[in-house]
Amino acid sequence: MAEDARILEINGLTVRFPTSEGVVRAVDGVSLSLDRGETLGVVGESGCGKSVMLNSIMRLLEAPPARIGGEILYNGQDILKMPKRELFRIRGKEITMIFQEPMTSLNPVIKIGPQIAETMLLHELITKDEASAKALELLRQVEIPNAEECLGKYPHQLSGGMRQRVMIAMALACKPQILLADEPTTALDVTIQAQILALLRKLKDEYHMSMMIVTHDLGVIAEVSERVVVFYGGNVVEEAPTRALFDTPLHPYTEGLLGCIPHLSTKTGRLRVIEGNVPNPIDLPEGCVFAPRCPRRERLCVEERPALKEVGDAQGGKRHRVACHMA
Amino acid sequence: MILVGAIIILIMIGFAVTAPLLTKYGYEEINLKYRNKPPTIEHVMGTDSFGRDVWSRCVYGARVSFIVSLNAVAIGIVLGLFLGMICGFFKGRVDFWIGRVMDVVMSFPALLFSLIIGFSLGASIPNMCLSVGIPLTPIFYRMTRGEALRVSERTYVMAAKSIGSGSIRTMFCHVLPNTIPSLLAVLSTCMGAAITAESALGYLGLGIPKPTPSWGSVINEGRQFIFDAPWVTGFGGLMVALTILGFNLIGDGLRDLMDPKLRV
Amino acid sequence: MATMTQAPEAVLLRADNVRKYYTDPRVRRQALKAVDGVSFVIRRGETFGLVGESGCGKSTLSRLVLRLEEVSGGSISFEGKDLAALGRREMLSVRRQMQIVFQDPYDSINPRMTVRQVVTEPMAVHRFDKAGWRPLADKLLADVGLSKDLADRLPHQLSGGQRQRLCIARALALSPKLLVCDEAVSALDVSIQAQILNLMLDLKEEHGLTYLFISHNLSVVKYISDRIGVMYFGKLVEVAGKEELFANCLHPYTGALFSAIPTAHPDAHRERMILKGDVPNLYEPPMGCIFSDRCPFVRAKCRDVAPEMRSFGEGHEVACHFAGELDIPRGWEGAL
Repeated sequence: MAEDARILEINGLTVRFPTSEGVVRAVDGVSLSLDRGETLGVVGESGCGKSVMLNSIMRLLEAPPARIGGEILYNGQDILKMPKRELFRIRGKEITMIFQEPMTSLNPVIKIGPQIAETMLLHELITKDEASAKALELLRQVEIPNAEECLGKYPHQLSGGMRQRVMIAMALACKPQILLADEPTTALDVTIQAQILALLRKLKDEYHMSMMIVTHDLGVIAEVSERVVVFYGGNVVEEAPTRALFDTPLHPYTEGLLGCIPHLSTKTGRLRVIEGNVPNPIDLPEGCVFAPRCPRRERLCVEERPALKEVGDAQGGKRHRVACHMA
Repeated sequence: MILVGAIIILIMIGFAVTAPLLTKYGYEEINLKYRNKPPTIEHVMGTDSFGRDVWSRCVYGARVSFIVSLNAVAIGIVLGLFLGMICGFFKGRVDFWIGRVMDVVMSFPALLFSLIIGFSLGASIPNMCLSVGIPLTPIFYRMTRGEALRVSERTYVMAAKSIGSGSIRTMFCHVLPNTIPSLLAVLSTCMGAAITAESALGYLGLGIPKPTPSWGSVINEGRQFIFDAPWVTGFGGLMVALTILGFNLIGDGLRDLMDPKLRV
Repeated sequence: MATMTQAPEAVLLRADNVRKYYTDPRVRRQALKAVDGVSFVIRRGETFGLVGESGCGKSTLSRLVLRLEEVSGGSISFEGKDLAALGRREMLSVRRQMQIVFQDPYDSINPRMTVRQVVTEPMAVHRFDKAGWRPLADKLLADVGLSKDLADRLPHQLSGGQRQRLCIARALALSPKLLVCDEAVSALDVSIQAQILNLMLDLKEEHGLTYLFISHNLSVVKYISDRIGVMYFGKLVEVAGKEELFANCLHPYTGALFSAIPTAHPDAHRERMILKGDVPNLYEPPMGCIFSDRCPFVRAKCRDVAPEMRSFGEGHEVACHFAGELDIPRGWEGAL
């Protein structure tokens, strides 16, 4: 694949937090890439490091205390080593982010209109009037009914779904290259979730951006993403085009994850389960992170951590990689 | 830290209990030849304007200060915890009326309250405990009520109700134990406030009848000569400061100790 | 009102026109109708699922069923006894027969009690013979799959899944007949959720339990339930057996709910119905049918008259004027 097709490339990212009980290895050597115009889904359970990874792309982690290693290349430039000036130019303009709980990421005492305009005034040379005109246009794009009225409202006057739309409008204000979404629909009801996902799909095409969606919900992944990265215990255990992942999951964890969700078509009977608990990031196993819960565990798995290796043929230029000795 | 705090407080209590053994001079022994003398081997903390030994006065003073502040805080806690718990747990009309009474007590200047008690009932140790303790009640009341309100919203209180646990049982087993840690934090500050209040009363002449010393009276008597004999106020203040430090350390330590998350 | 023809012995719990209104005198607005005229029955040994989005009143309903809150109107009867009419002592004995597991396993256990204390608390409240506490506690912990070594731990040393197991053990201590699960698996990771769902099915067989299973997650409700009720803003809009509901849903909201479930597979093609608009304001509900402002099939009558529950075939009840006449997409096929 041509080098310039990759807009974002993460190499050997590690994030550690020293605590009184030991060092939390939140992200433990993650490498992945995001292509231009692609939607990448990142899926994993709580504490698997997926959100921490997302925050480190935006350099939102306080370091120290966090200790960050590896590199995050945006158009070939390492975000982690970028000078502050450069970072501020990119953050919020070229790379933007939406969060799970929109209420906490909106300023409660500023009206919606000025709040959206603020981002544009910060990054672009435009007048206030132009900015507010653009804010209105953005609100229409994210399909907010009565957009004019919405400009003059405060965040608490909107419902959860509307707030998330406002967040998306803010994220789009400067026509970003990359949109990072951290559990964007988790706090919303299913009928609202369906609306937001449809909106994100539409906007991604209109804006020609790349999108990275972090979620614990495989259903959301199936809805929006083209390629999936599966996180477990701070590691990437599998990476594949979405279709391949759902058809032929290779890592026992992915397989277990797909098996333990009750489908509407599941007949009564017992669900397949993954035994045991989510790993503690303070003492991750030496070998494969999934080994303690793995039904196919062998001695090698406990002793040596498997690297991501390519399997099968590339589908449409996209690789299927898995970190498992037994695959 | 809790150990350091405990050692300080134990030493202070030790002073109070064994005062006669630790002192060479009586606390009221006046020696006009030795007025306002700086610390020497004879008088380790110097002498005050009457030539009395400051060390003796501080050690004996610990008695009054401890008795008054401990009792006052005990009064405040018992009343405050009881009322706060009832209000926070049962809410409703009881809460409203007790709340209004507490507002009245709180809006009343503590010193004025003490003055009224002092003048009407006379200056004595039990009256002082009462007059220092009652103004402390709203502090504990508010803290307890707030915590009880917060804790009784937790699901485990609902869960207790669902298994059939009655109000009183739920209050004692679930709400109270989760309320106390936050009280401990206020406790240490209140000990400090009580000692200060006791000193203020001593200054106004509503404390223990002279010449019985308390830390408050030592500090206040030294105040007039603070430039000629700073050691009088200084050592008196040091005793108060050390004691408050000790209580604070114990309070913080206890709170950490009672937090199940920090327990090993 | 719905006609209920079951023999009384078969019915464990009956809710009849249950209402719960909250009034805030300081705001002096119209009462908030959290639950508004809900009727259903739960038969002995079945799992009755209740689905709905946040704020639809399903959690309030669970509290009313357990009489943790009092109803504003209507009645709930357990084994034929009207709960509201029971005195303190009688209520205590009924409490033993119905228990609840809450959503948040981190909030539903007193952080100062050890695992064993949590399990034995119900025994203490109901004055069980003290000698029996320990063996019963050990049995309960084993039943829910918690190792004996955990008995002296404090809750914060347990994972979310383990805590939820503990909550189930506590609920089972009184050998209840009815177990209400209020979003009991919603806060758990998917791999843990599956473990707990399996556990619930096992326990149901072993202890002969009846479940009232409340969740916003349709897939989970479908998996575990025998019959399902769909709630929308304080009203029950459709009740049917699981298979019947999925094969032949009649209320447009049920259809929309099915459509909204994410797709299980990227290739699945679905005819979907995505609702316009937002959830209604609780204080100013729409006139007529509660769903009329979002319903894609809305007609004039819907805005004027609130529909009553009507029966369509065995055990299938729908509150929609035009039930059976609408072309609701089978959006759930291929859904997760």
